[in-house]
Amino acid sequence: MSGRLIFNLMLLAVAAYFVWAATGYDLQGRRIPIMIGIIVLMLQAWVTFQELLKPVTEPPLLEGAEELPPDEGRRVAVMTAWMVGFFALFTVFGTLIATALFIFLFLVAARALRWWGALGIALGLSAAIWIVFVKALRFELYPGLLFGGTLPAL
Amino acid sequence: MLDPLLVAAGALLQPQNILLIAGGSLMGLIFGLLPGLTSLAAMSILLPFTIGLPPISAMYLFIGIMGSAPFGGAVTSILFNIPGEPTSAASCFDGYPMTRRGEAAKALGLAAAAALFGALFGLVVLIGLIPMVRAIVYAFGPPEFFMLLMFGLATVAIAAPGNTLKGLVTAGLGILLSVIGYDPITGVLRFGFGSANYLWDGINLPAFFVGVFAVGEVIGYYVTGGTIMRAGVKMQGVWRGTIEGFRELFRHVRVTIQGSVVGSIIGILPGVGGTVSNFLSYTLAMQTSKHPETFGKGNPEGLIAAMTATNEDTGALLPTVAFGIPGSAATALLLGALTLHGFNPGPLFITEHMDIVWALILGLLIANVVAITVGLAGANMLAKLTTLDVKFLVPTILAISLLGAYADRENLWDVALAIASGVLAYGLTRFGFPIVTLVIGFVMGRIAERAFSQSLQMELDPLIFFKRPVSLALFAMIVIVFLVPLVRRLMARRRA
Repeated sequence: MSGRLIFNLMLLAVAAYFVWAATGYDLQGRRIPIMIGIIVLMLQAWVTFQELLKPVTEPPLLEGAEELPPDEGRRVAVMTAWMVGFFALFTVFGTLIATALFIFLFLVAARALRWWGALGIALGLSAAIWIVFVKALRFELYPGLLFGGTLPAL
Repeated sequence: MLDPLLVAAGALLQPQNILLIAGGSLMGLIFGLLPGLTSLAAMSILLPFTIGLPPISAMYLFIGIMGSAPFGGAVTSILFNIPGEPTSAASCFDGYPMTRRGEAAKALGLAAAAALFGALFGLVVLIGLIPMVRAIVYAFGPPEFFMLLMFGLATVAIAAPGNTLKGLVTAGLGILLSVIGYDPITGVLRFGFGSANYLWDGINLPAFFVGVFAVGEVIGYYVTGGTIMRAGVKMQGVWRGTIEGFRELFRHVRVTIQGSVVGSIIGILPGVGGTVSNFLSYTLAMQTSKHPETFGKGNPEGLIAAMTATNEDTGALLPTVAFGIPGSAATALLLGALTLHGFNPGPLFITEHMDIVWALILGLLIANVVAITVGLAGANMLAKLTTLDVKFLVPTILAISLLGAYADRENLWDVALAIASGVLAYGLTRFGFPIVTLVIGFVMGRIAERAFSQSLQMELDPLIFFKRPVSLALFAMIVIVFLVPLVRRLMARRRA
């Protein structure tokens, strides 16, 4: 099954969920979600059907002339993993340490700079965030679970 | 009429007030630039410190922030696809593609010129409409507002760039995402996905924008590599580009005036908010353009439409000073400041304290000039970053964007929301679904639903939308919006 088809089916499932969940609300609460949900469901079903019958050529990622690399799926997965990693660092260590660690690790892993250059940029940006947000704007950055932060209620 | 103007102008010439307005403008510019921090935050921080100031000086400080934030927000939208303010998100659509083709300086110049024109236009409207504001506000009840939003959505659906069917799907998806959260009419939490607290207020708009625009784009950078500015493209000279941008505005007089009118009118309507006015202006420009297919690909008209409509705060000043009803969140804070200084905005305020009204008007004008002068100089230096390898930009932009998502309401889950929205946006773009319609559906969906329910509560008759003249006229415009492309196609066939 191609990524395109999976993505289209996922959108179909999202629309179906909204319609199904909306049936549980009273008339005022469900009117718009059901109406829009059904329209989206029908249109997306048609889009999916069309693409099943006649798969279109892959559009460029961004308007212009870029070509997508053959390992696009892997790159998207790696980038998503980096973002999840940043979120984990942010949660555990707080904004400043997470930012410094993330930038350092990313730059070293991407072989963009030598470790000392990466460390300089990472510490520089964290220091800039601290000066602007904490010292100048009196903004409270997230301290991290290790340093007294709590998880907000979901 | 002239005496209060002279009082306000005289106050403006005092060194303390010059410093306050310049400081306010710089602060608005910086808060506008930083994702997640808005002009509202700047005004909230400064509010307690203004108590000791003379009222007119305090107003110069506040209006400085309000006037300069829109351009500040547009800078990061244009250069990095990161909306500094929610109201500047619409400028990403065409401003950022212009940057990618080496026209960052032109896009910034155009945005500056459009914002300045919009502000000037808004001020003229403000001065001219003060006697008529009551009639305008009363002409727009929930049915009219619902029809106005439907008009906006209809124009998006018809003029969506690329595949119209997919544009409709993402517009619908945007509306569905917008209704997540408590229902304002019944008070029930809808589509909570197991969350009883986080999603109570719905999907957080700034975090969603950061995700859709910045995070989605960062994934794209990582996948494709290279630089933000496309390979082989030569970066336009700063001054030449800026001047060209200013000139470009005068080549699109219709869109310029149209956007300014939309911003001013939407600003007057209390509780609507600037984000709606920018997107409405953008969709209207797309619908009325001869080349709607070029929108979202770096069409200057799209950027003009988005930027001229950032004058909504000027319009929002009208109901604030005339009735004491704030037209936007920023003017709500301004109202708080006026009350704190012992004023009671309302019909009498205009007659008794016209000097303060003039101070607000003159302050807005100066703030825009300061923001554009300082902002353009700084932004053109930032533009050089677009020629750097994205290897350096990916972690930096991501960290700053996600910090911005967190900063809006200091909620950790907003960071997760921004990441999830970014992955969704990447997928949508990748498979040919336009992001423009998703965002517009999201911005307008919830407000449209509320207006719909309020209309039906006014009169338990679905025909209420067709019984009121303004609402009916807007409905007629929706029909025309759907008919125009059909007529165009028929005429094209005949010609062929």
